Parts: sequence; C-alpha cells; structure tokens
Amino acid sequence: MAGRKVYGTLNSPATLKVLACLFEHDLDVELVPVNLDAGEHKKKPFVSMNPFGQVPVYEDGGIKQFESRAIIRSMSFEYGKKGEELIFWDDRKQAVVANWIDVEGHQFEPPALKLINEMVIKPKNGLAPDQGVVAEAEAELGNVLDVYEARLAKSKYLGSDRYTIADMLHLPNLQSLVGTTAKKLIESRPHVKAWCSQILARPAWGKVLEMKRKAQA
Amino acid sequence: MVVKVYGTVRSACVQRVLACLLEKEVDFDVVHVDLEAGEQKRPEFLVLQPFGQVPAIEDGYLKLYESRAIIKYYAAKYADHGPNLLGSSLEERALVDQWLEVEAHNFNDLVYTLVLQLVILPRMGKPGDLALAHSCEQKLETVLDVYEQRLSKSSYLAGETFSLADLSHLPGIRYLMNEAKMGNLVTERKNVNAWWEDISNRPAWKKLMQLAGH
Repeated sequence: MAGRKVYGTLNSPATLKVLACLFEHDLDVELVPVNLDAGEHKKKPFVSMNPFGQVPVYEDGGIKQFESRAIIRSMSFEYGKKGEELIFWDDRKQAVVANWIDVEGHQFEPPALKLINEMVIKPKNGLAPDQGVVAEAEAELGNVLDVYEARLAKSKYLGSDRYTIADMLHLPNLQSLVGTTAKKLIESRPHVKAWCSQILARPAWGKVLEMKRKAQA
Repeated sequence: MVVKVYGTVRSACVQRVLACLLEKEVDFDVVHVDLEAGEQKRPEFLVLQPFGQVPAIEDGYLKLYESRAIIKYYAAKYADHGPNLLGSSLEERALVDQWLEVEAHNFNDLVYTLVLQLVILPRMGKPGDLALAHSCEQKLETVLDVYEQRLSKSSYLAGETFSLADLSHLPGIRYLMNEAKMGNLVTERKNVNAWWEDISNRPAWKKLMQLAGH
C-alpha cells in the first residue's frame, strides 16, 4: 500500500516508540530488522539513511526520516484521526505537549536508560550491575518522578488531560523499568503509578508487546 | 503583552529562546535568575521550572519551559510574521524537526560536556576532566563530519531556508568557538564554516550578541 517501513530492532526503545505511534494511528508497517550486534547500523547502506548510525529510520512514500521524536511528531500531525489526535492543532496546547516531549528526552530518558542498562542489559550479557551507578541513577530518576507526581496530581496526562505523544514516548522505558526492582520508584508515587498503568494498558502498546513476543518465540 | 524570559542572557539555552524571539520581533523582558547563587533551585523558581533549569517563560497565562519547545511555539504562533522558521510543507517541517532532534541529542551533549570540563569547572576553581573533554572532542569531529556532508547538499540543515534547526545551534557553536577555543572544528570544515558565517551574521543574532555583551 503506502509502503511504510521502519528500519530498526525490537530491542531499541526508539524503534518501539515509533511502532507504538504507528499502531495508535492504525497504520500498517513493515519492520526491517537492523542487526545492531553485527554493527549493521554503523555501515553502509544503513548510514546512507541515517548518517549518525542510529535506529530507527522511518520510510513513508519514499521519504526517509530519522530521530524518533521527529518521526512521531510529523506522523501524528499527518495522520491524526479526527477527534482522536495525539497532538493539538491549537498552538498553545501543543506548546505544553512539546514541553513534555522534551522533558522525556532530556530529564526522564537519560537516568532511565542508565538503570535499564545496569539492571536489564548487563545481566543479559552476563555482567553484574554496578550498584554505585544504580543508586545514582535511581536517585536521579526519583527526582524526575517527583516532578511528574506533582504534574500528574494536576493533569490526567503529562501534556494535557488527554493522552498525547508526550506520554507515549515513555512507554518502552517504563515497560522495562516495571520489570525490575526499580519499579518501586513508580509504585511509591500514586499519580505516577496510576498514569503508568493507564498508558502501558493502551491497546497500541499491547500490539507492540505482541510483536516482541512473537519475534522471541 | 511582553514575554517574560526567566534566565540570564549568557546562558546558552536562554539565548536559543531569545534568538528566536528576536528573529520574530517579539518583545521580551529577561527576568534575571542568579545561577551562581543557585536561585534556580529555590522553591520560588521551581514553581516555574520544576527541574531547576533556565529558561522558563511566562506569556499571559501560558507558562513553558524546555528551550526547543518554546522556540517551536513562537515560530508557530508568529508563522506569518518575520522569517518562516518551521518549513513550509509537511516534508520540510519533518526535516526541521529531524535536525532539531539531532542538535538536541547528537550535538548538544558533547558541546555541553566540553564547555563544562574546559571552561565552567576551571572558572569555579575545580579541575576539568581533560580525558572526557578529549573524548567529546573526537565524537564531535565525527558529528561535524556528518554536518559537513549534509551542508554540501543544502545551504541550511533542513533545506534551502534558515530554520529553527540552524538557530538552535547558534549558542552552542559560539561557546565552542569562543570560550572553549575550538573554532578549528568549524573553520576546518568548508561547508560548516560557510554555514556558521551565514547564520551568525543574521541581524537577530548580532543584536543578541550585543545584549549579552559578547
């Protein structure tokens, strides 16, 4: 049909974010696997699509784009289903969503990724977590989640009173974190806990998880 | 109504916002926040920006933070006034978004770490981590090679017109070239250098440099 492709892997949070967005908009897509272990993303032909050598790359109608947040932004404006948009057409409302999209990228993801690296990825590769790094990252993420707790006490979702791409961007890393002891950071904050359960239960995210399960089977 | 920008005119992230407001000829007031005294971590400021960072803005009832979200808002709000910083078609806008993300995630952290280790920590009387700075410099060389390639095919990062993607780089590159004294990273690359000469000579940026006393 429209020939939508995502070049990436089901282990990459950035790839999963783009897939979640595609499924929220009921869009078909073909996942073209990129072998990160073999360094495929740092070689041609991949680097001719993303010269920074990172997944994912998204192709739609022959046009290629990289940087997951940029992909998700433009997709949401292009394919927003009337009445169910994940963005706002009103500039002021979208400004607040954009604010929280950047919070995810600058404040939430760095300590989240550090924790996931120590508690999920290293053990998978037979390495022991560095408890010093874990403690530091937990403290950092805890501070961020304190801000989220205050925000979510006043607003049902981060960017507004409805689900937007600002919330969606958190899905892959939250899913990883709730599978570790770091879930205490979420469960000890009632508004964050409720928000996290809500967004992880979105059917589109369920579809992404199903895709992961099938690939591992 | 005048936009209140909380921060200092010397802060790179504040400059990103002011550059945009100047391009769009939007009146603003900088409300000084004493970063050295840690004012940004005090409760009164945390109400505006709960992560304790500058800038934050107040525009009537709208309160916003995260400099790149702020510039997107003003570029959209005043799309019909001054230069179009967002791109015209959906595809152009997508490219502007892409290169804004590149600046935020592939460029900014390296420049920030370099400036922190080589300039800010020494200024505070603390030793900078030279090995870390060197490692950032090498990674930045690789990133700027990508920019060099890109700018051999188009005059600006997202296409043939100046956009937020280019604007977003101005404060960081200035710090790199001046305080961190790594101008060679730019001047040794023909296309990056030509691009920098062009964007740093824009009247709005020059006005900001006067305001900041650079």
